[in-house]
Amino acid sequence: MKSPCKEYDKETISKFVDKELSPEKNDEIKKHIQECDGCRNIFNHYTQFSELFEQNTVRQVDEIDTKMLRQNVLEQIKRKEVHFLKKVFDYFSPKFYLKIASVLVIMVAGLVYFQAQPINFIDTAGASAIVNSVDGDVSSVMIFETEKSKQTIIWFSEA
Amino acid sequence: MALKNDKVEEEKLVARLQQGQEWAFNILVNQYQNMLLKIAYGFTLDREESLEIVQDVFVSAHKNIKTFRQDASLAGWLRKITINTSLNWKRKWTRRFRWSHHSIEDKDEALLLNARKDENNPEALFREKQQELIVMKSIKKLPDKIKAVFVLNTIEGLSYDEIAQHLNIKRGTVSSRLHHARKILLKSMEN
Amino acid sequence: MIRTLNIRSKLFVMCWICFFASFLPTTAIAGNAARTNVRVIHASQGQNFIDSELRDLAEELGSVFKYTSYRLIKSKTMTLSNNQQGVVNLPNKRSLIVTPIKIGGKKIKYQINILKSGDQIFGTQILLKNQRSITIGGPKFKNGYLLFNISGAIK
Repeated sequence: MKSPCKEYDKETISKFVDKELSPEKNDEIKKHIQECDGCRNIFNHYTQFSELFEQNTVRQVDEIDTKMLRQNVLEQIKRKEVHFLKKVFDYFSPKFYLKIASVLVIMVAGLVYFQAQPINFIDTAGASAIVNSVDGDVSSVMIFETEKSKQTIIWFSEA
Repeated sequence: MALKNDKVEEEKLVARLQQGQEWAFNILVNQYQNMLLKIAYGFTLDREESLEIVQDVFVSAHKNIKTFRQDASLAGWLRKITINTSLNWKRKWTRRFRWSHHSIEDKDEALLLNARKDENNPEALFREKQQELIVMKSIKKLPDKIKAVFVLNTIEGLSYDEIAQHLNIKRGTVSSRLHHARKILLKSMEN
Repeated sequence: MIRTLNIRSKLFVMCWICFFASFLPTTAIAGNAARTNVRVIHASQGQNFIDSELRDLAEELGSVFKYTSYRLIKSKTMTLSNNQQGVVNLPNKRSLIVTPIKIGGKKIKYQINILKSGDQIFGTQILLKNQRSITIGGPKFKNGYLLFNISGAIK
């Protein structure tokens, strides 16, 4: 394809549009474009392509309804998790699960019976702490719990 | 906000995402959905497909967040997934629906090409709109490798070095592909 | 019974045996020390702000308090054995001393004291459930109050 003029080719103009030339070369082309119709024409077209594409894209994307996007994503994630679990559980037969369950029951019963101390499970029901005593130079003390996790809160006011 | 703080905030968000906290995932979607939709639209020029692609990208991000390395940025990582998903999407749907898939924007084209020049439609405006349509159609037809470079340059405003790093190509290749894209568009306008 | 299962099934059974076997050492040594974390929080009714480290707690506290701002001033984690004192220095010449005085199977008995310039202003003895936490407040501090979230886990 023909160059716009004898001095510079189109790829140079393309790099100039993208500001990827050295500062000296950039100034050189900037000055040249003011004088050369051919190069100025190419520059204008190249700039126009980018502007058109960008403006059109922004306009079209603004019209996309993103409200459902997050919901659809979360639904897809849940579906994949359910599908994966189903695959795992369908791998073995029901008789096999019965055998494993009976082995586990015997093992847990044995652990509990022969161990002096109970197994450390996390107790999430009920208040997180019992307050045995409170003292200090305070004018008032309140004890209550949060709604969801029943976390104990002690609130004191200094005297 | 200072740059250092942005990096720290991103690290905290990634940590929460890797812990599987849903509210962190909501933040991720809100923060990046627009950027990713623009990239996907740049490839497909179709709103519905762009939406489906970005949904797939977020599902994939959710699945693979544990493999995310903190030396890259979240934006860069999501961008790469979107580019790959967009390219594979095109290939997948071209095979299945070669004869039946129509972009919803095709109706705009039909309306414009069938519009007659009349007193209510000044000639200059009509020509401008036609030019826009020709350019957009030509962009849609650009080969994938060239389009990827054009989208990252125009829509994302990335430098040649950044594009080269994203697509794993040389800087010189970025320059020649962009030049090639513009040559194609210029030719379509001249025709 | 094990002999009649195929390799896949044997692997599955081995995994479960290993899983349960891992409980044996932990139950044997439980009760020696308590991993104790203290978070010092500034709560106020200023501009909406929730420190990202406090999101879980802020949501809970929001059900009982009207504060709109929760900032994490300090977080300290200590592994304390029976009767070993853990000290957390606080602003305005205060300090918080947390001491596990009995570490049982499911609970930790803590003695918690808040001092100002060496004098005790508040003290409490609590029985905290394993891997749960308690929040204590609040001395006044900079147009708000100080809250102390204390959590404990038996090691």
